[in-house]
Amino acid sequence: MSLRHLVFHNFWLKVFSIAAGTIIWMAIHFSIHHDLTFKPHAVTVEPADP
Amino acid sequence: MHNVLHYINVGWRPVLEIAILSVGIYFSLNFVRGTRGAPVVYGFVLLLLSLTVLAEVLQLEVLIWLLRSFVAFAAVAVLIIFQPELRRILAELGTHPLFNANRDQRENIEVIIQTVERLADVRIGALIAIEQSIQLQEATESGLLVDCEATPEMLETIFFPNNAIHDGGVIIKGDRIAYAACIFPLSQRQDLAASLGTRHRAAIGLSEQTDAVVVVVSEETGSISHAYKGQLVRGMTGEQLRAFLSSVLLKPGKPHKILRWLQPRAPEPAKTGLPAARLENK
Repeated sequence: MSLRHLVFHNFWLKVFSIAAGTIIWMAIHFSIHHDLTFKPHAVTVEPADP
Repeated sequence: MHNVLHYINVGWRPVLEIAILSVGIYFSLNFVRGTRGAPVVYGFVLLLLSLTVLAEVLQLEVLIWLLRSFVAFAAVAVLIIFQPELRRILAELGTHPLFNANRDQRENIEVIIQTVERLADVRIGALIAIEQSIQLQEATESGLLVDCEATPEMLETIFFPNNAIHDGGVIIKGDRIAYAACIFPLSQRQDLAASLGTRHRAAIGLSEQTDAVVVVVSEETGSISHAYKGQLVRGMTGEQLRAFLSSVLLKPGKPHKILRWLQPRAPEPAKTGLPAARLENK
């Protein structure tokens, strides 16, 4: 199998796969990143009035 | 210089992850393409993507939650839809030429070529399956045990019209005719030409589920076809069939793909005008 065949065989399918892989990676990466930086709302408990 | 090294150190992981994902997507799409489950998968993915985009844009939280939960079930659906194809691929992985030496079927090829050429000339239908690594257990259950040496005369006798066992397919194991009058599973594909008869559909069906090579002679037209891995090729000549069978069945003579790629390129046999099987005999 030549290098030319390796690159150009199913060329558009390979391009599509790389694009899809990049999009999926970015979506998951930023989703994880968002989850890590997410902080729940702080709950403040006011001291009861005496 | 320090900054460049820093970026390389940080950046190689995403590149590797994207590369692995891309390779996985490529092989999945390549695998799905041309199989009978392809339309189902395309429809399914399109529906899932549309719903996801809609849910994200309109912030439909319940739908987003449902879709995320549904992804786990999708894996099970894929297993069910592609069960025959996955079984064949896993069986092929387990019996890779690196781990398992194949029998030399050179004599079988000549027997089959002679048989199908003679049968095609007189327009007698034939269905011959050559068993490889996956055993054709289910097909043999419906057939009749023959267990005799594979010769053109014997095969012609089996397929002779009005013979008690001329209906159904013959299974060849090694250099012997193992079973005759076997009922092969019919292909369920919807995209096949309406002109294809039961014999051709059975050939495709068996080749979808196993790694067997199936050779068909049409009773109506006398044309020779072969089915392999779910793909049917019609209107073959004896020489073309010989070249195909040699490329599929004569594996021990072929070095592994990686080794062939590393080796310097030899002149291609096709340019000499002689088929591969004859060249190897010299």
